[in-house]
Amino acid sequence: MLRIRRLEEKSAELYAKQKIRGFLHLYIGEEAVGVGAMRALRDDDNVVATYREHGHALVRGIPAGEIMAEMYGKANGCSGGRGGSMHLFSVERRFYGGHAIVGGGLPIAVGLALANKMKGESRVTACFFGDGATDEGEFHESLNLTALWELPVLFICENNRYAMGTAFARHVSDNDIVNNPPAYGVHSETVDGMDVVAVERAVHNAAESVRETGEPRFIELRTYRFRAHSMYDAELYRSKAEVEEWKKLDPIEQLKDRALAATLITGADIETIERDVAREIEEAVQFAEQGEWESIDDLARHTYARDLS
Amino acid sequence: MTTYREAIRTALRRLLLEDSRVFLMGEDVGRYGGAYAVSKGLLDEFGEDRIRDTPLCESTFVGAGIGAALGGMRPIVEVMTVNFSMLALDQVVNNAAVMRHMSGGQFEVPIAVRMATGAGKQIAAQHSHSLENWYASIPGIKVLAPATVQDAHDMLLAAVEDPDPVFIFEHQMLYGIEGPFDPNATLSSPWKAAVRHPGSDVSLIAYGGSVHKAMTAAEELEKEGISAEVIDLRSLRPLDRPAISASVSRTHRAIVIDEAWKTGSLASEVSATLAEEAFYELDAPIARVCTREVPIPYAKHLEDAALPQVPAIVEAAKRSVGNG
Amino acid sequence: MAEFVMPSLGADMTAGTLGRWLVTVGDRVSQGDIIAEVETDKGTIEVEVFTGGVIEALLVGEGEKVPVGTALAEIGEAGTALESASAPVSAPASASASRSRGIMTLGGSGDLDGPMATPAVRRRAHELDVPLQGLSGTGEHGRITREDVEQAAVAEVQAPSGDRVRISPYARRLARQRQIDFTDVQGTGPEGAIAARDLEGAPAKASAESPKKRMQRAIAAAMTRANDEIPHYYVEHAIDMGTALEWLREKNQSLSVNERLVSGVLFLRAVARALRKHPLLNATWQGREVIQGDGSHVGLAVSLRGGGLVAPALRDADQGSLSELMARMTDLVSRARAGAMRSSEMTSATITLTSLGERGVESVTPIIFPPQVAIVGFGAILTRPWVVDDQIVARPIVRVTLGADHRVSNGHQGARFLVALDRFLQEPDKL
Repeated sequence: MLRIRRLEEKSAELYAKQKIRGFLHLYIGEEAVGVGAMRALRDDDNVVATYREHGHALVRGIPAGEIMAEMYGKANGCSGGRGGSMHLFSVERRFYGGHAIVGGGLPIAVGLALANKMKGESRVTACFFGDGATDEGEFHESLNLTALWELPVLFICENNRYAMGTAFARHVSDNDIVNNPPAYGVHSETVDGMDVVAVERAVHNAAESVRETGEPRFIELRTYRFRAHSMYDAELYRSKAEVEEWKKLDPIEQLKDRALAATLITGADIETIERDVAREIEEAVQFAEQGEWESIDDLARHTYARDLS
Repeated sequence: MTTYREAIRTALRRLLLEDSRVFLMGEDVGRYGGAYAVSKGLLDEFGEDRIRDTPLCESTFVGAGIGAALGGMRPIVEVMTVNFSMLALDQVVNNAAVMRHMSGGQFEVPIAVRMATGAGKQIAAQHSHSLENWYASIPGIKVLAPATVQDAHDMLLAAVEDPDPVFIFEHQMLYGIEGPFDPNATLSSPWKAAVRHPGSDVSLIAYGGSVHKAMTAAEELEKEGISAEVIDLRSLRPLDRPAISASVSRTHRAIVIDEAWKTGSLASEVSATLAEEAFYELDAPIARVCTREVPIPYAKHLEDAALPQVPAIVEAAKRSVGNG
Repeated sequence: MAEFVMPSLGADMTAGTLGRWLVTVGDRVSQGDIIAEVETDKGTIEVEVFTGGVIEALLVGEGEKVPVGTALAEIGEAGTALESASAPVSAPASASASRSRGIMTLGGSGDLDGPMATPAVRRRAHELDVPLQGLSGTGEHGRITREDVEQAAVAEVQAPSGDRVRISPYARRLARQRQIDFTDVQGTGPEGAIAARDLEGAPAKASAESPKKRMQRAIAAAMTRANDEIPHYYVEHAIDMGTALEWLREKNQSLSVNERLVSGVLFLRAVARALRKHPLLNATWQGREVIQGDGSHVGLAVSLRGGGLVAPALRDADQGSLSELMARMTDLVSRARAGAMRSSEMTSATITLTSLGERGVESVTPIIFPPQVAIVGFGAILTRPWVVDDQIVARPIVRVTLGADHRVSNGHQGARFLVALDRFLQEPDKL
């Protein structure tokens, strides 16, 4: 969680310095979701993520340097500089991308699960999406289709309470997302997304159930983003008091306190971790800085398998 | 002689038999046998796992096809008509077309999507439009329009074999046509245009259903001493621009026939290509014969009047050669 | 020491207004502290600092709008106290950015390869149908001026083609390849356009037709501009041609018919000589400056059959024998009428000579061809009463009118030019 936090703080700094451009959706505050869920998945499971996916990618095993280089737009980024912050990909880590059309990744996850089922593989496809995606038709279509065809998809809804700037109660008629999936016959549960231990346990159980039964499941992880939707906004849609209230539930601080209290860890250990993380981030920035810009001559690459022009 | 729909079915069977990664999904492709009866009988032969009737959710079943292709399968997705495919356009534009590029070449989407297009059956404005030019404007996908029975078969084989997403537009008036067909013929490249009727005075450039109208027009022109060359574009993306320019370099006159609306049509693209690449070959202004800019009406006489018809093609050709 | 800069707060942000400082000089800040509010199009946003330390200076005042990346504050390491710079310094450095010398550069770098010309000149070029490509500019840094364009338009008049015949691109290409003149071909293509088949049997291209319309447009442009821009002044003088005509008659007796001199060649030579002595009239007006002529090149106004007018230059008209000058003048006029002039002949004159004597008029008040600065008009040589030694006698008199550009010369200088001209014509044997 600390790796994600520090990577993103550095990203924010580099954004202000215009090293990173475009959109930059920070995950700060939501780290327990990505970390808990990724730890519960197996290496050969599939992951489909959203545009707020730096944390997922990092924990999934994409090196921090490749993530940073991608945000710089360098050729040594994990998507070759073609994707940027919102579109991190890794075929090796079965990381099927950051998707930036809300809800657009869900049918992809359905198809990946269909392929696995038809090939007789026992992978779980973990599909991450926000509360905003539950407004989209594709959410309902995907629940229906996976339930109908019994496809092994684990739907993980990261409910951070805002669809960009629209509060949950202002975009969802039923105040409880968890009520939706059962209408399609999909098992559904809600978990505290600020508690990394609870997240890991719940996702592990759900994933294993999907693996065993081949049927989809749904988990809502209630969380909160401490920062703006994308890098900076005027935050007209929520009060400072609310943000402060949630900051008290900071997943990193919670875990630290519990680990210290249980004497699983000492203050010195934390300092060591901080130092290691700082070095990793520093090296990541170096990696990005030293990366090459792809030649404009290669602009048309990766549009088709073979250049058509 | 075989029908267009039988030729597609032959290709589907061959693909399903030869490659276990291939499966067909779409609305009513199974029990119903396909809205245009293309897949009739395949459910019995291949079973529900490989012939999948989907719920009515174009976006999600096209998206699932993309996902399955990412996951190593070779899905063939049938969307009942191009009109319904609008519901899946997000998946096409934002996922299928960009996945390879956005991932820096790590992932590819070898999906084949078939759909019916075109008018002529009095099924009005929500079932008759030709929107393949929208697809043809998207980098990252390929677009085919088989006009002949042989192409209906060959192009499907080529589409499934292709590593990129391929969209096949089957004109709904063609499913019943009969034509020569050899299932074992050597496959010609589907990405090249074909000369369907050689001529020296004027080029009639068309694709899909319009090719047949262009052929009839060429026969009529012949009676009046005008030798028309009919070019079947076949591939709408990539467009075989050299073949278009080459034909006009022979005839020096071009009539472009397209069942889409004229504004922003493929006919526009072909015309612009000629203006750019064959300007000094043009001996008369390029003419486009397209659908009138109205939603396709139900009433037969109105529908006929809205669509490009043989007399309009003949007239445009005559005007072009100066006999009009 | 570190700089706190105006951050990029979104993909579309290029500048922000410093709304409020939440710190003052001397405050200690640590990483992540909110130290200022920035107003953007999307609202007021609190911005954080990424470096800890002590605020040493606030460089931008509240309410100032500055580009992203502008330094807003200086942050020193803790302990290095500073007493200066306690108040925000207004106006960031951007205003003092180097200012060019007013040279017009155009748009993005893509334009740098093309010819340099101001939009007004480009528009003029468009109106006159003059391609800028290939035109050499006489302006600063090779910039193409309005004069360059208009001169080119006049020169262009002589060039072949320029037709506006309705013809297909293919047929036009064939005609060019086969050297076919299609101007009188009847088109059978759409709307009467000439198609390739119509070229069968068409005549081979003869010498270039004079493209009347184009010429008319060019003349109209030049004359309108002359009238609009050039403050003309006029000086008129009557010259006794008795001596000159007598001399000519004698001279011509010893010459064969086609070698004979005419009075026009005397005018031409006299103007060329007078021009040498009066450099203020031997110049062109280019934009805002006078460019001195490099010889004595006199334009000859030649009216064309069918109505056009050109004024090719007879270069170095003060050089060589009168016979040579006569031959050159005859050649130039016939070439001008055949449309076969050289480009140097279209651009080098500084003064034009126009003679309407053949038409019998007494005097002419001509308009200057820009960018030239003078024009001399000769009327007919008419027998007029003239006072010689207090006696009224009949003499052949020509009225000469000088029109000149008052920005370059004045009436006094103009008068001296005409007097010099008179003197030369009184001594024809020295011409």
